Amino acid sequence: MKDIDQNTLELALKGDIGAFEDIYKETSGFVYNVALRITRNSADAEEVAQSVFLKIYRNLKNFAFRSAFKTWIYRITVNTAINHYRKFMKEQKRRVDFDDLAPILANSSLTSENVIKSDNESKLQSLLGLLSLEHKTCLVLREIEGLSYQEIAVSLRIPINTVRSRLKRARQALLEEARKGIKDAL
Amino acid sequence: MRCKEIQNLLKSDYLDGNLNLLKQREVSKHLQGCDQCRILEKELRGQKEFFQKIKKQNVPGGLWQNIKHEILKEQLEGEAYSGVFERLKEFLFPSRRVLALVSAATAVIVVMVLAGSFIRGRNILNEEKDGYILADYTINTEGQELFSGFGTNIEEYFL
Repeated sequence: MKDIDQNTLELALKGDIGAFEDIYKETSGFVYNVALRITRNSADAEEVAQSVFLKIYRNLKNFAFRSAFKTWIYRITVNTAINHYRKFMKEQKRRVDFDDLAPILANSSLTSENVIKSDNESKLQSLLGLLSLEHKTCLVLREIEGLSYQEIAVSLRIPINTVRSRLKRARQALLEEARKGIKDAL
Repeated sequence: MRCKEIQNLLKSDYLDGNLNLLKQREVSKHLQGCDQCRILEKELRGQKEFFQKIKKQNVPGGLWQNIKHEILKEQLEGEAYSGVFERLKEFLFPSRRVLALVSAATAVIVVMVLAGSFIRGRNILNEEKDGYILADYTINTEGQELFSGFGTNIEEYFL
């Protein structure tokens, strides 16, 4: 994502809905996907994304250009998604949502590409489900969003060494699961 | 470097391309001679490749409309609220111009009241003065025929 130019930000700050839509178009992709990977549910991800953009709109005046706009949005997204997920867990709802797979399977023929896609998606869902929120968040930001250690540290407001150790633990946990799976298959 | 150190680097900076050239060479050299670490590196690469295949999901189509609706609603509510608030603020904390006008009007009223009191005061004094004149007249004409010209046969009869 290219960073939003200051002119667009200033217009959005004055209430220009067109400028805010430009911000939305540039950032909605990663906001939604980060929310999806943390909440593991497309309906919740949509709710989180809506909440994130309303927070951005209301707090734009507080963005003092101390960090890149992108990292500021990542921070809001991660916090909102984590709070939403924690609330969800507290209410003890159990929704396993694979509705992302249904359109792929229903609307297209079962090509090997689509099967792999849906297989990868379900595999990702189950792998991320093994991790704690903190480890999952770091891994998603690094592996799926491609953020650097520094960007992750600024977004999550944690030391860079904490980013490093969380990534190590997350990768170790996934390796152990993969090895267990191979062992079970044998 | 020992295996534990290498494995820590494999799971973090080495895999993420954060190592300087010197450290990279050290790790590569170790991997050439260590099967356990080489297997670990291969597994971690496989994991990274898996994540690279994950496609980002499309944002739901109606999301922007919902957000826009909420923003426009807030803007309208904000305008209505700020209108009421502004009027209240003007009433409690009037602008300088309003204050100046009110002060001037107050000053005029005060002057008028004072002037009115002054004028009334003078009238009262004059009435008192007239009272003194009357009293003086009365005292000085005591014993004199006050009713001259009024004398009638009846009065003469009784007097």
